[in-house]
Amino acid sequence: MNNKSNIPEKTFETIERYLLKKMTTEESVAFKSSLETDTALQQQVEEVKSIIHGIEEASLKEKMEVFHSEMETNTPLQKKKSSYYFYAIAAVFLGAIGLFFFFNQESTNEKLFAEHFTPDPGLPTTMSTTSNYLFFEGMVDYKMANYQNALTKWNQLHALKPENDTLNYFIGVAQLASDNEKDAITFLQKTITKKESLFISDAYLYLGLAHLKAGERDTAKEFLKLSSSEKSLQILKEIKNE
Amino acid sequence: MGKVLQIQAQDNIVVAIQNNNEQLLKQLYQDNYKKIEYYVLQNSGSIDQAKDLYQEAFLSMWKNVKEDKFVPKNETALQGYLYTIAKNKWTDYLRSARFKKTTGMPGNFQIKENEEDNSYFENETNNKQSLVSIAFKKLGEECKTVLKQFYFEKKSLKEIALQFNIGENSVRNKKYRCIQKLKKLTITPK
Repeated sequence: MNNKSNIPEKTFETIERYLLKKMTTEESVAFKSSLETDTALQQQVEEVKSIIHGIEEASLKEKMEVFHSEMETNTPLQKKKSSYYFYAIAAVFLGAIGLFFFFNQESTNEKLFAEHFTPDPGLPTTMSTTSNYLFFEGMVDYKMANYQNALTKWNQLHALKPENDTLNYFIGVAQLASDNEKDAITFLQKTITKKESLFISDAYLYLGLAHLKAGERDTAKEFLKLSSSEKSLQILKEIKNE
Repeated sequence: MGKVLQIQAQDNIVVAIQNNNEQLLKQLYQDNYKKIEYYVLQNSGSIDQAKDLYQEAFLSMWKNVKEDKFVPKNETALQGYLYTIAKNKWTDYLRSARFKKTTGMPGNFQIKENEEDNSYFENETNNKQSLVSIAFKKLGEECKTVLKQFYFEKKSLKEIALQFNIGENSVRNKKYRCIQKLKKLTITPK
């Protein structure tokens, strides 16, 4: 960077407002036209631009370090494939299932539930618009098995979109994963009112599991029969064999 | 799938990146890293190199979207773009003299400790913007915070003033003074 120009504060701020698009249309038109003829101003604009972009670049570099370290602390089980979230969740649930067995040996319903319940792996958390940030933020929590955080976020959204089948489905599964089978049933019931929902088959499966957990084996069977998932068939088979 | 999940119009992504929307940047960063790490590890790189490479690719992606050099149609296009930049940078690196030199020496497979700005792969370090960004690290904490919040996080002077518990005008002056400092640091590197 050369030293020739020391841009006075007023000029600096005008240029800045131009670059940050904070000018009114009239102002911006006037500024552009003087920019066309004034080479000194052109240089100053370039200089301010590289300063602003440089600050942004440095800030992004800092942020990237934070993003990176977050990723490392959040995923103790580092796998090379992108499915590492899945393994982390699977590990947590294997542990949870083990505990379940230990404490609930007498209850066959609970046992069946524990054997077969793994939460839906969730949706890829790619981003889109602002209104969806909350949903995906919740999805990140969900994948980390922070169900309470996920539920807090999704419940806010749910207030705005009570009929959304995706939302109802994941709230239901998260509730079930937090051992609130009653609430899980309420939300999953809403999902299945939309027969065209992509989640319909899985919603039946989780409804079955929720009723199983609640000790309502007959209702559970009805729902499991409606689901076309392999897991449902398997559970039904095991119920028969008992 | 509910409407809530539909990929949105390109405008939103571009605007979000131009505004440095932290949520978006974070998601993009974290969702795509592993794929690139895997690629680098499969192609005679280390984890540290994967991280450096990825961050530079991410930075390029961000710069190019900001400057309208690349206009992603959607999220997937952006991810593909990021991946392509990283791959190309890695290919360039593998072909470079530096790589051949370090791997060619028997018994010495260590890549030389990288220089100040961690740049294995960047070939445009000499532009003004990068010089400013390197100088930025040498600023005092207060200046860093003010400049970062104003220019990167797009906070208003008012918001920043509230944090520092000073008037808006003081923040304006401080900002200008910090810019002057930054300019000085940039002119005389070292």
